[in-house]
Amino acid sequence: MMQRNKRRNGRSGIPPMILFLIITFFIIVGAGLLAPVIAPVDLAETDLTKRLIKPSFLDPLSPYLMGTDNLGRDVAVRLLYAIRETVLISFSGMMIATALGTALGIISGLSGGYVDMAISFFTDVRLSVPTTFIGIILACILGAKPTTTVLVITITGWSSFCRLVRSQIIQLKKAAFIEASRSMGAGGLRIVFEHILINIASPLIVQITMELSGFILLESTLSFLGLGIEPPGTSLGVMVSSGRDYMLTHWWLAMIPSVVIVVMILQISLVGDWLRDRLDPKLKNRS
Amino acid sequence: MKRYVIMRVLKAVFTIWAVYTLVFFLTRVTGDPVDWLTMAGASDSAKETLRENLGLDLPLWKQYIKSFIGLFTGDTGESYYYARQVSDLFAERIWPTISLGGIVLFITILIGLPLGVLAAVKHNSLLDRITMSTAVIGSTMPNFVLGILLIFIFALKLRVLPSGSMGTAKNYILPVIALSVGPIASVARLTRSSLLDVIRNEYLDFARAKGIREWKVVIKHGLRNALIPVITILGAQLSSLIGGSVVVETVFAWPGIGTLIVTSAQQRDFPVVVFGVLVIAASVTFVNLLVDLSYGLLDPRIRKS
Repeated sequence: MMQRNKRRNGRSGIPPMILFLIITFFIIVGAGLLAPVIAPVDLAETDLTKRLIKPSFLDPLSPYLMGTDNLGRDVAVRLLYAIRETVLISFSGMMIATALGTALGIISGLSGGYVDMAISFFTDVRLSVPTTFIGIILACILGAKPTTTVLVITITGWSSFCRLVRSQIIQLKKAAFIEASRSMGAGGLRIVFEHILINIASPLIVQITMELSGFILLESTLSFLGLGIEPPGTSLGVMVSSGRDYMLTHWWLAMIPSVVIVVMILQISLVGDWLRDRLDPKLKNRS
Repeated sequence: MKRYVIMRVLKAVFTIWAVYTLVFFLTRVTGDPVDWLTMAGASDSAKETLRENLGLDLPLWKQYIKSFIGLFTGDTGESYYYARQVSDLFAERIWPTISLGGIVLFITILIGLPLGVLAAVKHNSLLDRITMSTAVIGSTMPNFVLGILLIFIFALKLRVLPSGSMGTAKNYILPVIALSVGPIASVARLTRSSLLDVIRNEYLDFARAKGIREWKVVIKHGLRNALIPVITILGAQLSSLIGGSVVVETVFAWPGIGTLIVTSAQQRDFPVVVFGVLVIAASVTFVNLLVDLSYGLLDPRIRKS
């Protein structure tokens, strides 16, 4: 009860903790996206004379902030490019999955009948194959490419948006204001854009945030398994995977990208939890 | 209820069939396996022989029917690389995967459920806060990061536990931890929130008023009603557990079906991949079927409708 009152009183403000998480998240994402501007290098270039130099936080004399890897490449620079790749892949996957899922959810919810049954059957089929295996099958068929991972995210991601939008629409369809609008002669598309999308926006935003951390996880897992990106391209999972062989002597090679993955996922899920409590009080305490 | 069960079973069978068909055709339409099985510059006649041996000379629909019937007669086809029956390959490797998954599932329930109950009963206490913040970190930690961290600490630095492959019971410890932290966290979180929803109900006050002991009220009247969402999430967790076991098996060099499917995918060994996906889809669908049917046992309201 107390919590509820607190929330109502502080409705306009963002808690400093959440603000901090959001700002740091955008700093990481921004640094990654700007990688070609901050450090314009050729990712394939190697320099074996400079291999495995300690990072400057372990050796104050080292000129490299995060050291160099087994091929003599600056880890800090590679990290920026890795973040960039992970962010680009998971964000574009997220956008396509959201658009596709929302569209199918609207179609499914509005039309009902066989269309609805067919779409929900496909959701079942998709859910019976665990996400990682969808990645494995597609990487096997299409090869390990960034576009494959985007496709995997789309295929695995759409169903949750579809289910959410569908259930919201079925509820909304009965609402009086939709009925009123229809009786005044508004067409189906107009109702969708003017009333339905606006009303499902906030649960959708919550869902997008919650799913995004899963997409980042999926991207890093697939690239860790060697099913996401071909060298010399890099992503956070690739860096962890290649740093693994040097764990005993050069632990930071695997640990630095691991920390970045965990931090990014944690930032998104904490912000997502907060958004859900704030925008969608009905869902509070769920999951 | 009977009608519901029959419909539900039919739907499950149909789902598995659809997965099989989809994966079968998807893997076949993307090129000729013979091209990457033979070395560059192999003669056409050598390619033709290989194609005949693998049964790839038949039209696609005949291949499909042959392998589909084979599933029922025990002929699951031969792996391109190992040149052995696919089902034999799986039979060898299923035990490591099942034993690992079984232990993880057991531990998840054994730890996750009581943790969630404790956190809910001591709502907003220090214990609740600690459990829930640990759960947040636990559920955001990727399997492979956790696995590598465990290997680094316990196998490389402290040298107390083996870093991989099967053997003694000790070999199980790290993979089990790496796999179970996520599910434990989700089960604990969900048990807590589901029990918190139930705990506010009047019938619990009524039970207390009757003089029933508090723990009995929580377990018998509270938890029983809070279990349905928890069982749902356990079903969903199994799917992500199977997905996660692929990653953990790779990290710990575990000789299970996960590593078999990943290496087969990298080698484009289609019969193995298709059969593997079939096995996994079937087990996920079967568990979800059990989950759906168990609602009826737990909740009389559902049983009657």
